[in-house]
Amino acid sequence: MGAAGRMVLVLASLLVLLTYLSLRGATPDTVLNEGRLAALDALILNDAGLQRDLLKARAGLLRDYDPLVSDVEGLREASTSLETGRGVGAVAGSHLERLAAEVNEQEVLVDEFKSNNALLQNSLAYFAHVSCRLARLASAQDSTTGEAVGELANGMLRFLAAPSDGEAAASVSRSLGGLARRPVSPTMREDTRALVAHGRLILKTLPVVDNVLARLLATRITERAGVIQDLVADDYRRAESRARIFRVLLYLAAVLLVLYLGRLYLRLRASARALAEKAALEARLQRRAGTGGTPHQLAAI
Amino acid sequence: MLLHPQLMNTSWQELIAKLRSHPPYAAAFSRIYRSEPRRADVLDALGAFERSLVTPDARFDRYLRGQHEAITPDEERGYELFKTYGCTACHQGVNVGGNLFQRFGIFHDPFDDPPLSVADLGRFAITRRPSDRHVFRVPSLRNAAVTAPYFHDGRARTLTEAVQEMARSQLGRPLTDEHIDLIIKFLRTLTGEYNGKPLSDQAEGKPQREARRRR
Repeated sequence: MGAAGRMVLVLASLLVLLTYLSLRGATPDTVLNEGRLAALDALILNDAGLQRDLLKARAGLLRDYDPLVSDVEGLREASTSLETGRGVGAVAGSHLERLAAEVNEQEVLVDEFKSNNALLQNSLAYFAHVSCRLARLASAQDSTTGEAVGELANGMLRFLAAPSDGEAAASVSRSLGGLARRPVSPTMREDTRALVAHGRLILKTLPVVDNVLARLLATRITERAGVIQDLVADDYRRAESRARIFRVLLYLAAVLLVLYLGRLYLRLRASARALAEKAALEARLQRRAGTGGTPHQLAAI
Repeated sequence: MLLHPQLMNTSWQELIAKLRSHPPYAAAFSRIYRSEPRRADVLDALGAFERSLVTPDARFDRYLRGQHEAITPDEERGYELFKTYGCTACHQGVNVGGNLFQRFGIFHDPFDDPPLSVADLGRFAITRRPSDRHVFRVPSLRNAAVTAPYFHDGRARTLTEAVQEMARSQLGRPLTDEHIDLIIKFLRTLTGEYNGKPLSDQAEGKPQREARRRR
């Protein structure tokens, strides 16, 4: 390989080295990182909002389910934007997969909760409405039925306060059975039948609602999002540190190149001087040769 | 919505194939877009349809904004009954429904007259979960007065039939004619405006004829 070939090889190697250092020294994608952290914040906020709205809905304080729909949409959007984001570390990636699965599960459970809670709230409203009307009718027509309705209403109150209390549930069940078997006047028959039907539905649905709610509240979305936030932040810090090292190496390479260029400059200048001196000497020699100096004189130059 | 596994769970390939194989749709696309159904045209048609669903300024909206004279005393009484009977447990929110799923037939089975169609299966047809059998999205009641027939198969031709069916299946007891009438009066206050004009009750005639044809 000639000198020119070696030079091309050296230059190509230098180009590759500098490009590599430059790429590795670039700052990690700040926009991507901030987008990812914002999506995780949105997940945590929507999860907190969802839990608040679920509890309000269970307590009958949420007038409609639009906020739940909005919370779930927020979770879904944040989860989707995290899924479509470019590569995260393997550990964060596996957490992201589990997070997406949990969001899917929450969505299904929220639908289940809304359906059952709507039935529950409907039956609670109807139970209160019909028991009041029956109590009014019974006070004028049939005091024993009135007492049975009162006993049922009291039992239902105890059950609502402690749905997991088996004795309260059994007491309501007995009262409902007694009322269903009781012969009542035709004017009260339809209301009694409706009261029993809605009472049974409350008895059946309330534990289901509470079970679904417990599963919804046991979600680990916020916890997992926090873990991913830490991992993403760690990843970013590590990438930033790595980039800083490569930037220092890039700087060192630049300094070495400057030194090398300086050395080349000095060598070039020295060569130029030598060439100039040589040219001047040759010029003097030619002049002397022209004027006919003796060999001794020429040798003395 | 179309592709979401929890909602319509379809794919563009399946959807386009269905539309192309359905002569009335194929003809309508050919007439409007001068081609057979394509993804961009389906999205355009859906967008146009969804924009037509924005029907603000119903009399009930004005009532909620504080204009108490926007609805009559009977309509207000109907609203009270609507809440008292617990209809608001499912029909609530800005669209008076549309934000949850519910089983059709809580106290009475409306599917006790076989054979059942695929549509009668409700969400089960998509999810295959036994608990989703006969579960449907609770419809919005906005413009209900002008969007007959009712239910997934158009089985109720009028609002009266629809309210009677809801009372029997979901409330577990029949309502008096007076209460049904008052609730329907309230439902008529949910009719909004489209392009600045109130939607007309006259539209009720066309779907009713369609329902009769289906039956």
